[in-house]
Amino acid sequence: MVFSAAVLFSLLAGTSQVLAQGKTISGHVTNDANQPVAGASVIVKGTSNGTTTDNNGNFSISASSGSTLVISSINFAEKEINVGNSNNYSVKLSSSIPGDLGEVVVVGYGTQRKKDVTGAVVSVKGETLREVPAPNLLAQLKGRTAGVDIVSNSATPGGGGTIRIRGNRSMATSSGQSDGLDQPLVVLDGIPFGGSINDINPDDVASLEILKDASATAIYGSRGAGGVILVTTKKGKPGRAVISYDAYHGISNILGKLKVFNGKEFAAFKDEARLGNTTSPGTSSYALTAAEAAALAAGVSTDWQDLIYRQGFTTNHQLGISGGNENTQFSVSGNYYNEEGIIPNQNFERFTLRTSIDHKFNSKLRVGLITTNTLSYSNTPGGGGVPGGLIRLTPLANPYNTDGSVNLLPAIGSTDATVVSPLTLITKSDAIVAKNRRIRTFNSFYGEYEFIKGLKYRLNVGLDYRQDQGGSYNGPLTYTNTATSFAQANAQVNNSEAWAYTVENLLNYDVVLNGKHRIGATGLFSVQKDHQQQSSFNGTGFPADFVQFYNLALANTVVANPNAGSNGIAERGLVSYMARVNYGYDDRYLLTATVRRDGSSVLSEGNQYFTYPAFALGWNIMNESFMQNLKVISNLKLRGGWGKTSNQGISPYTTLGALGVSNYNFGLSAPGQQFALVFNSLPNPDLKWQSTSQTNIGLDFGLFKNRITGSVDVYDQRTKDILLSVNLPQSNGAGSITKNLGKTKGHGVEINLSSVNVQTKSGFTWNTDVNYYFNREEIVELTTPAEKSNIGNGWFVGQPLTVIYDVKKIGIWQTGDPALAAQTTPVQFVGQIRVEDVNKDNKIDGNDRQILGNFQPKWEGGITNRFAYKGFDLNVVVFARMGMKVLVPYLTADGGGNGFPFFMQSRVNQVKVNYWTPTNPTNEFPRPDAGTDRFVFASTLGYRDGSFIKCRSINLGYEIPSRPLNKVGIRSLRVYVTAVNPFIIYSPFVDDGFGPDPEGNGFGGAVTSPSAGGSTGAPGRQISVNANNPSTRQFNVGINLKF
Amino acid sequence: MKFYKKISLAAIVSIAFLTNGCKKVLEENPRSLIPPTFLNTPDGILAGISGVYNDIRNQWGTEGFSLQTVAGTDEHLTGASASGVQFFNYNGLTPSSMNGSFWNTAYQDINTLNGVLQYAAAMTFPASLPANTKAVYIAQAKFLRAYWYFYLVQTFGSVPLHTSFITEATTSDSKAPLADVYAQIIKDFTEASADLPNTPAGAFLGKPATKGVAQYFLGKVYLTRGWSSAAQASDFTTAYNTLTAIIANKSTYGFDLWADYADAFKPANDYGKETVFVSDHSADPKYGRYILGSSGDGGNNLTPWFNRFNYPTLGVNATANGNNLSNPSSGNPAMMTRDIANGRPYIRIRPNVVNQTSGPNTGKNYIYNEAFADLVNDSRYDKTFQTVWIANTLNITGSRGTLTVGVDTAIWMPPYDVVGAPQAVGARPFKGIIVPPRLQSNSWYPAVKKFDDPNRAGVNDPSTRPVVMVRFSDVYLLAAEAAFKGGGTLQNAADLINVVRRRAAFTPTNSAAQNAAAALAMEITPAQVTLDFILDERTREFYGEWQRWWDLVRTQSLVRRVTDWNSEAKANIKAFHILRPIPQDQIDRTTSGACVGAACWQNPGY
Repeated sequence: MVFSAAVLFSLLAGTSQVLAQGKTISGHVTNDANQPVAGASVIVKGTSNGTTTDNNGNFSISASSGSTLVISSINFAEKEINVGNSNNYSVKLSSSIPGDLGEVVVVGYGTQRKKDVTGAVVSVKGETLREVPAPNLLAQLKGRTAGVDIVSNSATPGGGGTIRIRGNRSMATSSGQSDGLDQPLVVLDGIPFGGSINDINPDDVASLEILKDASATAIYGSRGAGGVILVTTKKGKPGRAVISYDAYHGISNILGKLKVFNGKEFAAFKDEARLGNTTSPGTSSYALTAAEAAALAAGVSTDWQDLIYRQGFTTNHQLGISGGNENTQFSVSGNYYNEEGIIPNQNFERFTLRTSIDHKFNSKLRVGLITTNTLSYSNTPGGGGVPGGLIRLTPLANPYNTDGSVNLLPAIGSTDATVVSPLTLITKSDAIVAKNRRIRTFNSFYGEYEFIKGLKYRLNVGLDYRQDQGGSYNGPLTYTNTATSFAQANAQVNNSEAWAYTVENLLNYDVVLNGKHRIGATGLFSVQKDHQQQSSFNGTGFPADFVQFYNLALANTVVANPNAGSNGIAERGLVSYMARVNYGYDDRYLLTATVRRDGSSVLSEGNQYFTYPAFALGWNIMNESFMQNLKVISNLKLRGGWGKTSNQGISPYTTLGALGVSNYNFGLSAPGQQFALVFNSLPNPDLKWQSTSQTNIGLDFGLFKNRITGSVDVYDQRTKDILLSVNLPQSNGAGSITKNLGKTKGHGVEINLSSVNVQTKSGFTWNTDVNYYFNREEIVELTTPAEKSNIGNGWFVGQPLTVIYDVKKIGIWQTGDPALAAQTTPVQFVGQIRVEDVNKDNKIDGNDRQILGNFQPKWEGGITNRFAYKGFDLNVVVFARMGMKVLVPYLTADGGGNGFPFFMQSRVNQVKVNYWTPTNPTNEFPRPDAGTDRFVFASTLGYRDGSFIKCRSINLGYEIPSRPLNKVGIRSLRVYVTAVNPFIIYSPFVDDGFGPDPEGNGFGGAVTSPSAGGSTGAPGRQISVNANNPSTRQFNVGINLKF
Repeated sequence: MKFYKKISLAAIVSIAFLTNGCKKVLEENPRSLIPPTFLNTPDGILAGISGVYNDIRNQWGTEGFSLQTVAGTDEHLTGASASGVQFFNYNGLTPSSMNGSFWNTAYQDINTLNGVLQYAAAMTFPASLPANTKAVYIAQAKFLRAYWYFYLVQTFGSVPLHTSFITEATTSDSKAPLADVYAQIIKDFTEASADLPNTPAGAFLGKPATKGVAQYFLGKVYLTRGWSSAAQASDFTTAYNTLTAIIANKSTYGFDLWADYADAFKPANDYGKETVFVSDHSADPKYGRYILGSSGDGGNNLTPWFNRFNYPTLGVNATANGNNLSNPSSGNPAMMTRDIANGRPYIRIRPNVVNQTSGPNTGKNYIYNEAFADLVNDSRYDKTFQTVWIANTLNITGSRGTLTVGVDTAIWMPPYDVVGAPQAVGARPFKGIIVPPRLQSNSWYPAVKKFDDPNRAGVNDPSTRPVVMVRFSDVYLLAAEAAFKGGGTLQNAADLINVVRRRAAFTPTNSAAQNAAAALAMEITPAQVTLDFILDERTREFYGEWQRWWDLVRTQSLVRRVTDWNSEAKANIKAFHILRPIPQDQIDRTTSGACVGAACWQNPGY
């Protein structure tokens, strides 16, 4: 890429002004609201000479006096201007919607003039998103819009994020369930889009519309409660075909390492753990091995993280052709994206091919098709948790033998002697593979027929097919398989297929009566069906590594993957009816009324249908006569709406119940092999929709000729009949059941502000977009009005949806503290964690648990600053999440698989912490204790302040003057450099040295605190910062080129 | 125009078609899961019973539960890597440290069995199945229901009692009186033993519940109730009669003792005559849930790992430092490498070889000085513990020479003191390291070899041997206990115990005369039968076999024996520890009904 840019520059230098003709005309294209129109096409009429406007609506083109410029853009009426003596033109485009003036936004099942919108709808342009180069829309959208909370949950290539619009509403017990219930609905070009957001190539996106309040989302009824993201992709425009090439390439490096004990510190730590052994004082099973002692003496201190992390890279190439004539427009694009991770051999690769065609047969009939085909490959050897193993491996071992070969068993002689060197991730790349291939074809077809003026019938058909083929292999003596023989090599093959169809029949009627009454009516009938099936098999025992997973017939044994969900089928169907009326009087008073009725297969018979009403009112105060004299205010609109929505995030067949399935052998002969069932989930014949009603009041405003524009929204939402997995006393047989029981509420404020801070005659502009928002969620009712808490799930009436409920650490027991002797249960020692005895009974037990915090940010926000001067543009994106806790499992241990097994025991290395010793009476971390793998009150160490302010990206671009370029047929060329995640501005978590990134990279992992409560303090649905693959900092160089 | 009409027509047809299809779109047709209605079929009944056996396998032989059956007793102390130390030392043992999975599994199974019993009773079984199929299935279900209630009542005391199928969610429950729970257990075992076959048959192969097994448990229940606050006058007599009847009919049930105590633990004899009742495992990945090379699924048998010390860390140049073994990390190469024969060290539990520093047993420890004090006539110490490790690592040279792999003893842990240890026998150098009792600790201690599985594919693999929950010698010792408690005479008790003791004297390498002499020496007189003797005998016979905590609880000896022998737990154990705490979750989740909150649910003291 860098190379091709260089070639291009030399090409430009050599072509000088040979083709010069006419003069250079510059111009600025805006809409009725004086906002720049980016991407508008500018053509010299009757020639093939053309260009497009940049992000600020500016263009420059070579044309002679007397010629005509044709300026066009989607949803705007084409405009012609005659080139006279002036070299600078301001062009105002008007909406192409009949009788309309102003910007148009996409709303569900249609478009609306922005001034007519009554709901809380935010538009984000594709260009804005692309200011942050990232593999998917979620990553691009992070911190950019008020009310849209996006948090990373993985840093593995191709990893996504968790997105919530206006917070959580449902009470989920797992992260998957939470996503199912509260994730927004994504609609791609009008068709609901399930599955991975990674399947959408961000370069194809023209705009995003985010419907936030219920009056806007109610038209999606049973799927609208989590908000709706409407993705509109690019389409062709009439005019000469435009060929565009956009690309970037960059390097990525880890944001930082986890700080662990070095060799000397590790030895000291082990010794302290021996001295601090409370079970058998003065002894340790984890003393240095002979090899470790020798390494210590030799000054060896291996940093395994240094040896594994490498520089990754990202490359993205997009080639597109679009164009068309009055009747037919087309757009074709191909994209290649490749991300090589910072863990050896981890990568994500995606090919996208997309075509859109629109054809107008005559004034009545239009048809169109958008087809997007995505093929992606990923390989994630070692998975997402590679660092966990790196930081626990002894630093007192040479990574290589004297002959240069890898020291396969660095911990030999210790309890963890079988651990295989992580360097096998590099040296045995053939023996550690975790591949997935995904193919998807997503097609939406429409036909539209206008019976009479304003009355249209539209048929939308969506066809979605996706298929995943996964294969993994772990050879013996590798980082992922400590077995020593090929008899224990293991492989897994899985296959999954999903398809969905959507058929929508729409009737639209738009009419303007007496010039003042604007009426729009929409009716819908639709059917949707989703199908998923998967199979997964495990093979054990292979002849050699090179076979990998490609021939399970070579395995000694093959069994179907016994994990739930690995094999099986799930189908769901949805039948919907919808009607909507928009009424506007004199562009001043607006009314929207919607009603939708959805029926879903996943609910029990008799409860399958539910009706969703919504109303909204709008008042364009600006259009009142009394406002006309106010110079300061250039736009003012008040909106208010109420609506009902829900979600259908329960799994198919939930209402039927299911038996727990396993197998058992009576004796060792075949007749004794039996299918085994237990009754562990109760059927639930009464499941119905959970519903959310939301009220939203918003104000849109523009000041100083819209130099400052913005909106403020305030909302209140109530959710009831929450699909709640209710924990039952196990003595009745089943541990839980899904019921419609809970109630929650939420409210929040969202502010979006855009301003043109500086705009000089010399062409310098400085714009700022700011968003600030907070959401307050609260549990109103659990299963019964009397139930005030559900400790097992971390639910408390009056509290946010997920809280930390545990004993509270108040320090470390210090020598001579009389309270230590007074405490009867548990008997503790100096140097151990001291927790608050809430009821002062000298016993620490479940009664001493208290709410220690929650995971809901106090506020969130983002700020984007854009500077432009003579072709240069610079933008800086910063975002913040403040005032919430984060769960850090690697600072805890429970003696089991959660937390960081053997933390503070000195059996393994760990994150470096300030631990108590007789000479270092800290109150931070307890004294190491070789005698236990579950030190008392360990869970209390894992709750940390998760607040942060981060710089998301810095993007510096230069638009090369078009005049010389035009000579070689190039319409425009921009080159840029970007830094993604360049630095963290504020994070107490990072400042304390606990990790490089306070944002999440996993889920759950909290430990139970056996002595004080049993249940985990923070449920597994919560995003956590674990010893998982670290996030990265990227530097990219890119170009945007148009022919 | 015709073309457009066609399109319009097509659209209208598609609407009509889809409208018709709506009903179908909203129908659910599960194919990949088994709906609860499946339980109401003959195959479902059998699968439900198998499901409960499978759940039993998820407890016996897995770490958390297994350790709780022996931890915090006179037999065992914590290993250096002990987990769940609250169960070992009773410090901080609270309702929330209770292994909820045992409670949850038991009640999930009880409800499943209630469903099985309800459905089976009303079901007509196809004529193609043997005529007694229905009766046998019902008997199996009753057996298993009683089995779980019996463990619940021994562990928690009074517990909720359900005998009908619960299919609707409820958040209320309450505990039943102890007497009611016992009455139901006795009823179920009695009815089960009426219909179970004498020997394994049909699908129930291996060593599942048979008439003899049901009789054993019935006898044990009477015995246990006899000791309890719900005792009835005839309990010990009924227990004695029930258990001795099994011995009288041992050939009918296919039960007997091996001549050699060691034979009971040979993998080849896992399903042999001495094995009464097992929880099955197998190397089959599907039915045995065994994954080659894995550390074990929830249902694998991990028993052999728990009581191994970390033998691959002991260096050839270790020295004595007072009464501690000093194992320096430099210049002291380890003599052993983990291998199949010696197993995987988990270092979780160890034999109680710590001398008492106060109390009646000052200067003595339970294993060497009490339970296994007789090393001459009683062969069981040698057949229980691994005390010798033969060098298996090349080129290990200490100050006393190079160890020959497969020949030289690397580690020797004699049950008596050796002067000169750890590096010499008297003045004679020993190539490896000797760890006599005074140098043993939570890191260095004899391992238990009874459960070893030499047929594992990988050194870290779990055992695929069954967990033998009941051996035939237990019938003798329980009958003896019943006799001792008045169900028979002391002579009866001594006679029964002597059967077990005479067998324990047998050593195959000895001559018949030697064996006869030893057997005679092992015999005890009625006067020697005391409760402590019976408990000691149970240690000798069943060391580590998932019984001890319940044995001590049953015989009301837990607090006394722990105080007398267990230096780790004596400071913390209280009278109330004879019952485990009701799991906190059960209390937290019971939110309606008459019994809500700890006051109603929790056992006293917690």
